[in-house]
Amino acid sequence: MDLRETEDQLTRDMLAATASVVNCTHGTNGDTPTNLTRSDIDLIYRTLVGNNAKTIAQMIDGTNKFGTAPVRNCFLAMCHSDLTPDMQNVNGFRPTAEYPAQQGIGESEFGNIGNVRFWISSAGSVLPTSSALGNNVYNIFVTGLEAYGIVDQDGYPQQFRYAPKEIAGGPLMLNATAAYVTAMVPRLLNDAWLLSLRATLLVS
Amino acid sequence: MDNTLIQQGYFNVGATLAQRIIPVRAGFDWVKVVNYTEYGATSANAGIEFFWQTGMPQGSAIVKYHNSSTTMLSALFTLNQGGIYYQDTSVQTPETVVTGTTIDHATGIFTAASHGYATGDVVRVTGTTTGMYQVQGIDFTITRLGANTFSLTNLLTTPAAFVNATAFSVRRIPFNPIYYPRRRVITAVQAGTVLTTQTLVTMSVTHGYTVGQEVRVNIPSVWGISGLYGVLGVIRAIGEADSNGYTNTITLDIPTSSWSGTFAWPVSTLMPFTYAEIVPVGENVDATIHGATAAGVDTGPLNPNLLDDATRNTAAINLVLGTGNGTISGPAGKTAGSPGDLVFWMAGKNYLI
Repeated sequence: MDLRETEDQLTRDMLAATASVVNCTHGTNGDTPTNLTRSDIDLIYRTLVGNNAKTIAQMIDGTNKFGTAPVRNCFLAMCHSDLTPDMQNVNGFRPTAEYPAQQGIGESEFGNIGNVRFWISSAGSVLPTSSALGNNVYNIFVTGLEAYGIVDQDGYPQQFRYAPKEIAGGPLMLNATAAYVTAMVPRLLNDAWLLSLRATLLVS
Repeated sequence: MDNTLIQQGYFNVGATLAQRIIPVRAGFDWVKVVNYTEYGATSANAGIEFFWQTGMPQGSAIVKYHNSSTTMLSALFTLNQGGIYYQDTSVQTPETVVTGTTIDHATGIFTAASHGYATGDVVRVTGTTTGMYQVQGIDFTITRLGANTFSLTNLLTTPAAFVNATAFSVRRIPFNPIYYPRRRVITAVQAGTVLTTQTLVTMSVTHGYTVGQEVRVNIPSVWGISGLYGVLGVIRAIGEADSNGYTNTITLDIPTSSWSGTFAWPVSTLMPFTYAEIVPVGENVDATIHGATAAGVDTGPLNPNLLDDATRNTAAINLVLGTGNGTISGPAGKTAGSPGDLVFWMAGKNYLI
């Protein structure tokens, strides 16, 4: 556990608590929500564009390389790594290895579908046993530019606090301590520019 | 003692004996509670000193108490016997599943043997068979009807869209999402019964909203209403009873003329669908500063907090003092007799070796 992970978790929980929800409904697993499909992603794109959200990731031009294809301007999606098998089954999925250029691709980016690029993490948002059939429900946060932000408290930046054994160790100087502190507030800036697409797994 | 953090405090037992919940931000590894009043009295079975340490079961404690004289006895509260609890409200994992046998849509009665729930608890129903599919996966505040039965507090289950279920699973949701205010699922929409030109919305879980907050209404067309998807509204009143008598409601300044249709739960053949939801998005500054009320009366400034839209992290680590094991009073105070006991507590955090 570290400071940035804590900040990520707080931001994730804020998004899970406040973002508008759209259930995947076009999948075939018989659950509510269903597994992820291209139709569900296209619906999210249509909604965000209709709300005048701006895409975050710029287009990657096509190049003369075998097995690659241009990548459109995209919204970013953040989700749990459990969804990777289902993403690969979605019509139009393109892994990052098939992007025409590898510059600016984050380590966490998994690929793109239509106008959405997906970033994965094992700390992605999961609602345990919450689907109609009692399976885990995954929040896929699809965000446009400046949809949410983090407000830091003035004069109280993130700090790593280390107390050496001379301070924290007592008369025998046996122990040192290390900790971090932060004062931050994650919040939606425009809720119309971010949606939580909820999905279950095709195979749990 | 190096690297030990000790927090302490005291309280008087209230008129109604209940669990005492004390936020202890840094957490704790051990707790000592003393009932100062009872230490000097001779009330039978009144606990006077309690101790709990990490590794002991939740709700347990080592207890000292008086019998009906000044003789001091000791006892042990075991698991969940009203002793001392460590509570982390950021935990969102549903509790252990309880298996239900029937849902009667005509009466709204859910039958699940020894469910252990109380009125006001929030539960999530899943895995229904033969009917009531629509409520699956949605959180509901419940009303306890008996040891084996409960009902959904804010949902009328009599419409024909619902069909009796012959089995279901249910889990209690221990705590609200940590950020306030929270998104809530809509169970009914209609014109206001008092403010008849405005929109009255009923929700499945106790909403916690206040007048002046701004919300977005997301009702997909499958719910029978058009014109209420992605619409912003300001809360003008709370608690106005809907036509079914439910008061877990908000009245929004969305004119009824802006939408059409009748809100109705979809029949199960339309599943899967997206739930109808209220999403808090902020607050209306005018309404908050000028204190607009249901009657439109300006009550003056209300000291607005401009960051109150889903940004308040309410998670806490709590020290929970229980009420006892039914015979011996717990650290929250006496189980009988007059309230007002003076109780001191001390909680410490140390290295675990």
